[in-house]
Amino acid sequence: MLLASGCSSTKLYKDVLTHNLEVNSKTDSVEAILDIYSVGMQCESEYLGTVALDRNSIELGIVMGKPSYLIVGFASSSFWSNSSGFISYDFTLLPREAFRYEVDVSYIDNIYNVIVYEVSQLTGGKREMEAAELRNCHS
Amino acid sequence: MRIAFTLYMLLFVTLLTGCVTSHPQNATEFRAAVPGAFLAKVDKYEVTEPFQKVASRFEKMAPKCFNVSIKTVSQSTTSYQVIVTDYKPTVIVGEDRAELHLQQHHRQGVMKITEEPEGGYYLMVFDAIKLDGENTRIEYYGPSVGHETIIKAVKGWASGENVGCPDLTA
Repeated sequence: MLLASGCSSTKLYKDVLTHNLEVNSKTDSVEAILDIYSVGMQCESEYLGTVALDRNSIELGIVMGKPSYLIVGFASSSFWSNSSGFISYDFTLLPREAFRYEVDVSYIDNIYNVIVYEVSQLTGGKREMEAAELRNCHS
Repeated sequence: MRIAFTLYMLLFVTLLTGCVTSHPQNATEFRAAVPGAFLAKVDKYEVTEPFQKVASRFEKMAPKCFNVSIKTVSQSTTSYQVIVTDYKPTVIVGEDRAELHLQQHHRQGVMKITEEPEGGYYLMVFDAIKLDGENTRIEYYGPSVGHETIIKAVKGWASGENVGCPDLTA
């Protein structure tokens, strides 16, 4: 599954930060992963690691105040047709102080979705982030 | 499976063009060509969703789901084939009508048989038409076989059920 993500040197993400990201996933026939990259001033990205989305909910930390480039990948395989597939959705997140982030990931019946929410830690207010806020610096 | 899919696509394009001398160059020509084409169909249905909601989902989901390139690899003991397909969605929203056009361009692995419109051959067109405050009619023009995942996804955008992107590798 990890090879299917296209990254030949896959490593586990070192989660050493305060948890500010919650990934809720619901999948029926695929393995889901989350690749995490840091993004530098010149738009260069550095691969930090991969998290297997093998539980309904996973909490982790990403660096505050700096953009992170995140790729949610879905890997499928079929023994009967001797085929495999990998499709992904990527976005850039710039975590802010006093906010945490929720990502709802689903893959049901060959339909997938990734929705990113920003939640205020002060008020509890939750809003879906727009595509424009999640574009990476190459977009 | 992948080889079969690719052959089917070529067949669809070929049959849609009749004598393979031309191919629809815009959505209007595509709509006109589909009813008489083999392995193509027009499907009309209604959803209990306000037109504005349907149109806004078209605008939100089409770029999210279809601005992608898909690479498929078919391998057997005697062959190895790589196909790279770029998809291009276009959404046009008016007061009472929204259109979603989906084009595909094979960047690698499939031979071009007729003049290709900018953005790729038209694969399917969905029209959402306002009926009243609560109901919207959807008109689909495209293949009658295959691509069920795309058709199902867009149906979900129209109805509001299981809204998401079709896995174009499935």
